[in-house]
Amino acid sequence: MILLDNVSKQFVRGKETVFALDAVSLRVEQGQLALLCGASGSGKTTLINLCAGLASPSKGTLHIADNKVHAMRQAERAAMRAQQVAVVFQLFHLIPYLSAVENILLPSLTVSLSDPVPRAMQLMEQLGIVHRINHRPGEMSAGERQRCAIARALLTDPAIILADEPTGNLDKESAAMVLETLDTCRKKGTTILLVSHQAVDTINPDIMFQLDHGKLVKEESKP
Amino acid sequence: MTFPTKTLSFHHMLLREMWHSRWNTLACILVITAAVGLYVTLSDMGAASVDATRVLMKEMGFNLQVIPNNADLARYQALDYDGPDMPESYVENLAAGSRIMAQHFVGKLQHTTEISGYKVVLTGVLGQTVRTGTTKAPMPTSYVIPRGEAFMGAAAARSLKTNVGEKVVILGREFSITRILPEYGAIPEDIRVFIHLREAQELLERPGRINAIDALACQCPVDAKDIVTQVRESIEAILPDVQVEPYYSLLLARHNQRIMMERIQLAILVGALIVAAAALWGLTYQNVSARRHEIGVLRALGFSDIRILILFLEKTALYALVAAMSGCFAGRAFTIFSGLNPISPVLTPIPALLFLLPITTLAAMLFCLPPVMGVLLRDPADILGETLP
Repeated sequence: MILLDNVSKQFVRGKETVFALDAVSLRVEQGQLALLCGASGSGKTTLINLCAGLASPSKGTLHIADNKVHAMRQAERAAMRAQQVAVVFQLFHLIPYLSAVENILLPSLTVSLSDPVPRAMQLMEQLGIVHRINHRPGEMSAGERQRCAIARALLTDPAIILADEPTGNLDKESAAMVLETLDTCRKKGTTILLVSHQAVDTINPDIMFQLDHGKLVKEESKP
Repeated sequence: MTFPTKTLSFHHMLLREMWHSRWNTLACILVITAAVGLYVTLSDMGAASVDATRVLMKEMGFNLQVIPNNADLARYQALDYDGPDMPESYVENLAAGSRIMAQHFVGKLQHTTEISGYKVVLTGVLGQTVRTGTTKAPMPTSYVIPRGEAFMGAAAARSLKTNVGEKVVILGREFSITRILPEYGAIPEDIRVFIHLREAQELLERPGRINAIDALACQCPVDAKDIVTQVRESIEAILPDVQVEPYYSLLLARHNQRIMMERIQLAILVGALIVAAAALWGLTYQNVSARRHEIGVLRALGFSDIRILILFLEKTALYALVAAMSGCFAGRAFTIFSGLNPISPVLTPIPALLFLLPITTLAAMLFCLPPVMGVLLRDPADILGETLP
């Protein structure tokens, strides 16, 4: 479950104070796929970062999978990300000197997994990148890199996936494959918060939020 | 296609990263190697310089003279030694003094006499006594002379037109000349005729007596202006009935040279180490800056800050270990090939390695800390939000 109550985030950039999020409250139930929309600069990435514990809110409370993220120390947030929450970034953020399979295996260094290698192979096959097993990110297409990043996120079977514009840099075909994978995860009970600045017509979200200039302006639940 | 059989490990990741940033890796290792090599070379060169000076100064002779308290210094200067004398045992007393600030002692019985109408200073000596508890080598200007033999000063030998193998009669006793001493260009050194102390005591009818002790002031960490006072006090504390007359120019030259060498060596070392530290800090900072996105990604994946810090420290420690070893041997090799190999090197290879390995590793890890901590103290979101390099 993802629960934000009156969450604000502001930061100082030069002499200017930027209000990235302004008193946002939202709730995503366990197993739901929530779509977070909004124009560029509306605060979507900030919201994802707060949910992942990658930044701290200026005000308000955040509960992610029963964790009070707003009150957690850095080490506790790291442990939460390792065990329960996975993040998928628009820019993939793969480690350039590791091969595709090594990148996917990275989370196995933070949590104890019984058979990480067969699991990584299974995910690569599922995402159609098994032929890239020993390739470095620089040798892969954008779509393959994003699928690799998704495989990395799924390695530990997280309870929550926070996906920040995962299809932003992909062609239509790759984007469809990524969204289909996320939809499969939803069907298995994973809670997903998917950020997109454009309409996603290949996925049917359980709930949709719209941000505008840091404020939650629209919330629509599937009937 | 090769399927992996083993999971990823931190060491595997570390090696991959080091290879990926190999130029930085190489530069870091080279900087530490240069710093360690410089330290070893400068230490060796300093030791070589001190050795060279020590030999030079020893050849210039002793720099202190201990004479009886009631002896007339003006008469000594005029080569008249027929005044008061003191027991020969004073040499042993000085050498056994625990706080004595001198380390080589030669008891002398000297008397001005004539040989074939030429004035010479007959000097009886019994070899050299080194301060108790030290392992110092004997001074090259102290002699062990067998009975019946004489070592002749250069000016005396020239005046008497004698050479090695000839005989000379001193106070009615015949001696074989077995050595002509090198010319010092100073009186009375060049007109001395050295014989065994016992024979001098017999000839002068002064058994068990001497009238001067030559000594060499120690290399003590004292200012030049204080050294004479302190050496004098340390000797007079053991033998209250003597006076200490330093040969100022020799004593101060030796002392000042040593102090100056130590300061120059220290200044160069400190300068070199500061430059190396700054370079290492810069390279680590550059490496961490280049890797900051990866640090952000690792944190986003749930790596703890401590684990990331350890990764960087392990890498730096590995650099430092390799560099300390190569620096130690490169520094020593440079010293040897440049012909400056000291007689008694300060740092022999194995102890140097045992000393430098932990010091270098700790120092390198310390320099690595600020840039890594600088990234770890920021929110991961800030780092990931920056434009990718």
